[in-house]
Amino acid sequence: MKNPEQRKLFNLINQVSFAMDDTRLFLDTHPHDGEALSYFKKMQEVRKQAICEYTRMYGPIVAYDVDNSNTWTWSSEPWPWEVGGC
Amino acid sequence: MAYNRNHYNNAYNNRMSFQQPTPVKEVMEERCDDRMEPVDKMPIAMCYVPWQKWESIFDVEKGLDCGTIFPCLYKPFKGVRH
Repeated sequence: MKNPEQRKLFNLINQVSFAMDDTRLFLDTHPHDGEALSYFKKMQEVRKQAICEYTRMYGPIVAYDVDNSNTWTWSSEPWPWEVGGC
Repeated sequence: MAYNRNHYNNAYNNRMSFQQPTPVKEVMEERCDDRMEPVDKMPIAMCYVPWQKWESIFDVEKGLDCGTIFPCLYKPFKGVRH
């Protein structure tokens, strides 16, 4: 991933996804915790926006989001994790 | 402390007696209180994990780097004694 902006956005998606995973574990045992619930909700929105922006600018992160109207592009382009310098 | 101990014992007996199952939400709230029980007063052969509370968490970048968003769970083991 040579483009630093792309790398930055991809990193953000990973970071926010992890924060949601960790919050989810907390919520499994604290289902009524208001602060945890509102943090999860906030991160959900940030993640949704970031993935939307990433997909629009750099292509899909998962094959479910491939736009295949003309050709199957998923296997011909570098995969998100195949970008080097990780 | 006396309150806490009684509170704990009642909760323990309630759960062990199987006479009246405690509703899940009630158990959940009861577990969320601040009781602190000396470990030698607890029934043996049980495992106890202190109840975690939401705290001021790491920002998302630090969270991923540290492997947890919770400062109280960040325990870097370096493999050396200091």
